[in-house]
Amino acid sequence: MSDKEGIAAIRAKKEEWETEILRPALEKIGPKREAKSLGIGHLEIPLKEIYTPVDLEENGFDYLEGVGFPGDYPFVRGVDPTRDPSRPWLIRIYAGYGTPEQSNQRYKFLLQEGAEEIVMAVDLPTQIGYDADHPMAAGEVGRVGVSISSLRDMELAFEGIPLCSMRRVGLLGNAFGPIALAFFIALGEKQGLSPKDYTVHLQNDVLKEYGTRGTQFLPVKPAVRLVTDVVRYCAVHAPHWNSCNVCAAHYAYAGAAPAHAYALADAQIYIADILAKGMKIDEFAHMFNLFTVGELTFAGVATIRAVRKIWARMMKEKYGARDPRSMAIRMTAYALGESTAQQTLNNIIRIALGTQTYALAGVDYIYNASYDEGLAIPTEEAARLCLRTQQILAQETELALTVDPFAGSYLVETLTLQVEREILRCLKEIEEMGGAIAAIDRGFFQKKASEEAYKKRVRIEKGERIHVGVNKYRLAAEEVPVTFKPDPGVAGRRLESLRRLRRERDNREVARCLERVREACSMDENVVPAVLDAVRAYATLGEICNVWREVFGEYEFSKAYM
Amino acid sequence: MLDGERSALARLLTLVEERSSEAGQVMRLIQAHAGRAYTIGVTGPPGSGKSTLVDKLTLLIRGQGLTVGIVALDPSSPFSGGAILGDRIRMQSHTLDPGVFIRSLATRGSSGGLARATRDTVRLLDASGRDFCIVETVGVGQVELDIVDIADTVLVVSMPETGDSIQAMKAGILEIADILVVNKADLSGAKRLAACLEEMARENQRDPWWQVPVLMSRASMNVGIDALFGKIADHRRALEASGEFLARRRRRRAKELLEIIETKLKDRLRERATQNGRLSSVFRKVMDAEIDPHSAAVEILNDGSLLRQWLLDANGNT
Amino acid sequence: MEGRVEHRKKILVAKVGLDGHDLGAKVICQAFRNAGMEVIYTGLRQTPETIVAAAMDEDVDVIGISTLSGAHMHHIPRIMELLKEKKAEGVVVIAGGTIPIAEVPELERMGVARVYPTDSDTSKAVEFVKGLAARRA
Repeated sequence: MSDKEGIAAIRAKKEEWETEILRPALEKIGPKREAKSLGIGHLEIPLKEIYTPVDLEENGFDYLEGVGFPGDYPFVRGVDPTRDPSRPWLIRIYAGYGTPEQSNQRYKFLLQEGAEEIVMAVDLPTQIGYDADHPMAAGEVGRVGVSISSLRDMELAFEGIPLCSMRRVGLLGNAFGPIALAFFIALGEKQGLSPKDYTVHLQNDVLKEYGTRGTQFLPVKPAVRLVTDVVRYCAVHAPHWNSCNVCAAHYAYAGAAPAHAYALADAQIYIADILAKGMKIDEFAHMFNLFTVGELTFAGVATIRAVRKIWARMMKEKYGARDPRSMAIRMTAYALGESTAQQTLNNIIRIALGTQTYALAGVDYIYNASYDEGLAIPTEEAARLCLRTQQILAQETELALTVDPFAGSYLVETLTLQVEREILRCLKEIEEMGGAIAAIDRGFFQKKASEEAYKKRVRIEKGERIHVGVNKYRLAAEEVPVTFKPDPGVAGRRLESLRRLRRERDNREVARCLERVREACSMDENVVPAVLDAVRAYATLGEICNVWREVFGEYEFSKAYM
Repeated sequence: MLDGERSALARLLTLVEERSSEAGQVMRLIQAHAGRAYTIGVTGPPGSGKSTLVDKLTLLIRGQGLTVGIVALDPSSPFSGGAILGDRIRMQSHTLDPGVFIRSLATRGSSGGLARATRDTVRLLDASGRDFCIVETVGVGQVELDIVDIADTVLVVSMPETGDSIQAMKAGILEIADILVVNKADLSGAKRLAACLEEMARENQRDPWWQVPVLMSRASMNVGIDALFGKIADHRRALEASGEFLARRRRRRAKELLEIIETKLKDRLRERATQNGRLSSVFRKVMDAEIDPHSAAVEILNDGSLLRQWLLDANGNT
Repeated sequence: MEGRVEHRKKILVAKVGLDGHDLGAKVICQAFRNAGMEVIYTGLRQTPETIVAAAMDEDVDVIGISTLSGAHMHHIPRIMELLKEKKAEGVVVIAGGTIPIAEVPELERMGVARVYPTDSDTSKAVEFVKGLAARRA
């Protein structure tokens, strides 16, 4: 039988099956609860009863053209052709709280327990460009992350931890990219290292902040310039570092699908800016990373495969990239699950399932939440469990032994094609609007997110969507879990530390450096060298950010978008 | 309140907003103190940057040592009657400034984009001693014509991408605009839109003593605000020189009286029509199509006892 | 005064501190709006001072604080203190977000009328506010 005849035969048989076997079974079951928006990274594409070769044919499945081989364009099956079973993906962990000294203890513990990359969690004042002693920092110092105000704090946080002893080190900060970069360069210098001796991973994706996390403090255009200054500097001085991790995850948490379209639109802004400043695509594109999302098994794997393909084609066709490293996008993912504050042990399952999905999807750098993450900073035990979850998946399952196991699945290949179409459609919509910045300006995403969030809440309250422990299988009296107790003395110690720093450093040198930063900002030059000098002189993060605020203006909040 | 107590002003504004029975008394008591403030109305389609403009204008006015009262309107939901009032977000720098008082108002079902309480709200802010009152209308895609009943100077704000909708609203704009502002003037199409508006304004000059100007601005960057304020001052001078300033205020007050009476009469008629009596039977006949509404109206207005049922209460009082 | 008297509950919803996740706040704003109330949303990065000043100028019945960064124990006492200073104790304060159950009694002692930890049904907050006697005119 030819392919066409084969498909026709299957289609005919399927109709027969639907009539004679499926329908009676459906009648017995009655009306089914819709799977609408199950969880993080859900698709608007509904899942069908079954998938067959007919679906592949109808969606234009072509193995060689559309899927190919791992390590080869269009990288649907993965960036690497094969994996080392002893380290199939990089095990990262997100950590940090309180003072740099306290975080240093936690980092040592985590590295001992098998973490391969520490991603620094910094507190909100740090993320928003405030020193620990700024009035707006009151009550927030050291809470959701470690309080870092200067190079001295970085030195303390990594005391006894050579940067080269970790496979990678990272920092989750977006609005102060050049400072984060400078911190790691200067810290390496203090440890007697040069950038080629270690690998740094920066999130440095400020555009998503405006619609999701809200840590921006400058207007959009100068904020984008700071992001691209970092990428351009790294392209020359540390090309093996990941200088920009474009994030889809936060868009997904906010609920407006398809999240990856927004992330790709943001990437396009950064890329356009760097190209306009004279670099060639192959000089810097390989440094991009994509923070993907999709924890529901089939939707997640399909989405991530589709995004790899979209990125590859975008690099090749839109930007004319020739180097395969520009076209192969490595992914980061954070397994969080729809974690609950109720019956927190349940989150262990959710997070493990999410971690597994990312492993199945061939994500390169995985980190996962601790089960008590929603309540407080993780306890040591909970943090250790994050690592054990990954280690068990990596060492005790088949996952590490084969690449892209779902390839060929009628379901996953069909979904991959459908997701690709959906993402491209939304990306086109954003492009027609004028791009990500125009979309942010008119609240395109924020409005959708706000409406989706409300609809999701209504679904949960009506029981149309089950959230175990929250609206079903509840406990009459929740056990109060043992959580991490934040140290009330943190703020005081941080203030003292800043006072001491300001006394001990050469303030004239600092003033001179800050003036140089101001000059660099006002002109069209890359601000990183000036910021690096300021950081080396122990200018604080807040002082440098204040120069930026003065030169560029402070971000003004806009409408509510509801 | 007259002594400058802020919380008193806030509470009085509530009485007025809720149309409570004491509100009438309040308005009577403050009558003598109102009339000093200069009122600026700001209207235009959504997204044109009205709130930002109001924010920056307020900054400028404060820089001159003068005080401001702002009434920011948002639409009430036609389904639930509730509302989300989010205009304060754009005006955050003024929250702690004692020289600025911002009050958010929901339209509560009234058409024309202004709440019924808007006039009295402005009057209270005026009486509390503000030099300027700025009213920012809802802007749901149409120009709010009723703003002329409240403002001395009306600004109509647009932006390059809403050019088409501005064209569509041509007649309305020409009726009410004293100053046209093209905001977000950095976007492409700004000059074209301004030229188009200038032509429109030139061909349809409404007042012989005032040519409606078209100004460009980038409110978010604080560009064009000085010029705008200058033009508002020009308009004020022109109003006064032509005698229109007082004439308009007189006309507005007369219109307000008519509207108040009209509302009172309508509401009471509606209420009385549901009670038992001859009035309700007339209504029933119209609803059953037994008589036409015109004849019914003539009947009610010419029949003394029907009039009495409508206008007087059980004790013979209005 | 012409027309019918219109009592509507007015609520100020604010995000206090530096946390920038506002979807929870927006969801509760919509829930209150859909229940017929008027919600003044102040947006992100409010301080106790700006919250109380806005709440008083708008003469609200209720202040709703949304907090996800754990800094509520720092900011809420200050809010309650300011309300007392301005003799506005009649304003009802409710709080929602990442608030551990263990801290609820202390917040209630401070004067917070109700606390709604993450994943609380919005209907609870709505019903509570509906049931309050009108403080205003």
